[in-house]
Amino acid sequence: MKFDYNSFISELQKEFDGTFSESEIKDLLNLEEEIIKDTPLSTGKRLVVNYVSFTGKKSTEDAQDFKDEIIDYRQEIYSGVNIWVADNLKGKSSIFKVIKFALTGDNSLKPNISKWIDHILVVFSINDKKYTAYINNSKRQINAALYNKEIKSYPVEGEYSEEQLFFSTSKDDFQSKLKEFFFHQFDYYSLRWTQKSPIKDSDDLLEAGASWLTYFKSIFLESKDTAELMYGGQGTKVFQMLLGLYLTSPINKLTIEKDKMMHLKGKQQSFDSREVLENEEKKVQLQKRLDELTEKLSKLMQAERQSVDIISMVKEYDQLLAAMEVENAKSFKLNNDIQKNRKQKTETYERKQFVEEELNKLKKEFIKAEKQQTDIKEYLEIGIFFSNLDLKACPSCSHPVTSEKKQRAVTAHTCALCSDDVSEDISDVNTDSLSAKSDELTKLQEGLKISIEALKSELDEITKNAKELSKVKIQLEQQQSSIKDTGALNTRLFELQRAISEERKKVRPLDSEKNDIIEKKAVLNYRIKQLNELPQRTGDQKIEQKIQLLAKAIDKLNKIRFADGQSILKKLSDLMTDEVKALGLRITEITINDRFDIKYKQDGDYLSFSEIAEGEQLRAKLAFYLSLIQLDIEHNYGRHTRFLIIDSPGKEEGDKNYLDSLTRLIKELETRFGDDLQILIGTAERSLENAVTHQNIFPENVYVF
Amino acid sequence: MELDEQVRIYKDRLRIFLILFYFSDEFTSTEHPEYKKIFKSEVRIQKIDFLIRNPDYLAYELLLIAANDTDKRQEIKQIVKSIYDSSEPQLRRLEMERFFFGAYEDIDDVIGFLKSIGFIGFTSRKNSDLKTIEKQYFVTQLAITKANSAISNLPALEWYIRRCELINNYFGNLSGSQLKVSQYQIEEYRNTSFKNFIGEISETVKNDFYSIFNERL
Repeated sequence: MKFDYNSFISELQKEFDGTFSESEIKDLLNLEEEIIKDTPLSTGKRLVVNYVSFTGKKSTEDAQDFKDEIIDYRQEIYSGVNIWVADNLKGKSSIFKVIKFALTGDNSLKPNISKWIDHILVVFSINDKKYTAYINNSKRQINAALYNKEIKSYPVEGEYSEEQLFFSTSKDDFQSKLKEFFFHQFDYYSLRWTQKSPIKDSDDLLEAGASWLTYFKSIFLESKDTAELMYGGQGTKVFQMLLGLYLTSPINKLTIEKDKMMHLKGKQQSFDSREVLENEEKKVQLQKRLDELTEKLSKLMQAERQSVDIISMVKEYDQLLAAMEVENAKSFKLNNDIQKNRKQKTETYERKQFVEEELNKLKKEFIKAEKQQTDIKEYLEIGIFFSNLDLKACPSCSHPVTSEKKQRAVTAHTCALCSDDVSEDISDVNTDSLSAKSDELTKLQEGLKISIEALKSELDEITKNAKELSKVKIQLEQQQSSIKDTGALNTRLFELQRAISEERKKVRPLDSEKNDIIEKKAVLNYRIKQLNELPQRTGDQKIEQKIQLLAKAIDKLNKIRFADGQSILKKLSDLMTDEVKALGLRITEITINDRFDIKYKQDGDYLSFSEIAEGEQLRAKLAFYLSLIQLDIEHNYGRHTRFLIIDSPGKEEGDKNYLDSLTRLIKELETRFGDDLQILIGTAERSLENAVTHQNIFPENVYVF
Repeated sequence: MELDEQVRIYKDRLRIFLILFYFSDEFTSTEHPEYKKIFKSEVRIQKIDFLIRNPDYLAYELLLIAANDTDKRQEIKQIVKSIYDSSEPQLRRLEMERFFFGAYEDIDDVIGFLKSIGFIGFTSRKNSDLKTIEKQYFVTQLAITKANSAISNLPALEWYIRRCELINNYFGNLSGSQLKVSQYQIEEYRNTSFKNFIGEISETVKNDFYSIFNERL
């Protein structure tokens, strides 16, 4: 990196000649320390988590099947890819959150689960040096310590005190000490930004800086953050830190400085002589505008008096409305009547059909009874007709049936013709019962006759009613045609309405314009008054020029950084392009601009991360971080810790293609970079089983701990 | 034996006897002096029986005559009207199966019965296929005496007598084959397949009646 601070200063001075001297600029920028702070060259360090364990008890108030189970989780973790495969909600994320807690001091475990966990031990190494983070979470306030050796048993008080790097009795302290530790290890520093005070009505500008926890977002890719490439507004800060391009720190410092100055300028009520002059000019202009408005207002007031007489129109409108109401009422009643008539007709028709059916049924029954009557009568009479007739001859052989034969047959209870035994034959037909039946049928028929008559007369009545209803219908229809055409009335009404509203509009804008003018006049008066009561000049008279200087310096530095970082950014974007393609995305090119905005070229358009289809964002994000790590491994640039935790990478993008390419990618990462990086993956996707050597498979419905 | 069956048997006996009685011609024979009337062909019995049992078909045939014979038109109109006014098609209908040569029902039992009580005699010949042909039925003096004396006292049977007279009046001169031919002109009758009951044709009758007399039945 060829950057000559002194010539940079003198170049700037030339541009601000007459305003600032070189030494003034040097004092203002004050970048001596920052200039040498950044280097894109990798520290060569990597973070590896070797072991995680925690203990506790699943105390819960609900009657769960795991109630009061003892937790004693121990897990060796290796370089390369480590996978936890378990169903959702079975504790994968909690493992990762425990690791995060131990490495950052930030506890993001769900409160109920955090309550279960008493002791946490995470062994990690930075290159070959092993460390152990220990947290005692059993009390309200945590006790935590970092040891510079591998410890796999929960230390009791005072134990390993010689190896203790620090000991904290609060979360905040633990967090800040871990930050110090990791910042030092990985050459991170706190890139800063300014933000408005969250306190209402305070216009203070607060300065904030990226913490270790902020940078840890580039390690722990939580499933909930999928929609963003880098976490929140500090994303580009994280990115810049991970890249470590030259001049990043000076740019950051000057930007903060500029923000502060601009804020100060806004607060200052300072004016220089030129501004006073401008104010005088302003005052004249304002007065002129005020005079114009006064004149316009008086004209308006006059015009208002000549407003058009719309009373007659309103009167006609009201009359029309009344007339229409009358017609509408008529039409409403008529429609009601028609409706009623229609309903009655339907009812009558239905009743008629019912009665007719009923009548048919009864008639059929009557005829059936009649037929039975006839049968009985015929039977009885035919019986009489053929009675007293003796057998005369055999129909087959024509031999006569003599009286002796007949007599013999009677005695023998046999048939005189066929000689069959007829002793058991019982005549079912009893003439007495037949007469009784006939009487019954007569009664039935009489009853039926009455019903039929009743139905017939009802039918007559119904028919009469139906005729009457039809007559009414015709009358109603005639009435309907006699109702005045409300359409015409309506048209006239509409015309009037429009005319009135137009007339009113002519008046109304006058009102609003008047108010508007009065308002403007008040504002002008106020501003003139304000200009008259100008406060005395205070504060830094050169602040505007200083801001311009800073802006210029930032712009120059940015250009230098971008030009210098070009080859690194190119390498990174190439890596990303390869990676997204490998993950099956249709992205043909990736560009990174001087503000570290990343654009993805898809179907000819350059999209920002948030514009990529939701189902593809996780892959783009994975590609981003994997590329950052590869940049370190392959090109020795950047300072990612080479440690990633990916929680549920298959959750949102569970299509087969994606999972296949993810599996392939994971396998490839394992073979290519197994010794150079560490990735912890938690997933519910069973298809990721057996992709890598180091896996912890939990069967369906089994808790991880 | 159920009443229905009994009734059927009784009715069959009466109808067949009345057909032989009313539709037969005078007869004298020295060999069988008791035979006073002669009736030829079983087919004719069957066809006449069909008209008795199906008042709708009778009405239809009568309307055919009315359509061609203006003299008889008014008379037939009244007859058909009264057939329908008294619901005869429903009340008097006795369904009949179609056989090879149209409406047919086995009447051998009835003939046998009538013979056993000495009401009728009958002769037939067998042809070379051993088929019984040229059936002839004779009504005896005994039957004639009985019918003349008893029937007038039996009001329930009067309808049959009136009906026989009516059919005799309009169709008495037709042979069995001729009757068969005219019945075959009716679609419903013709289309009835073998061994199925011949259906009602009241709708057709009502339509024909309307087209002839411009009046609804």
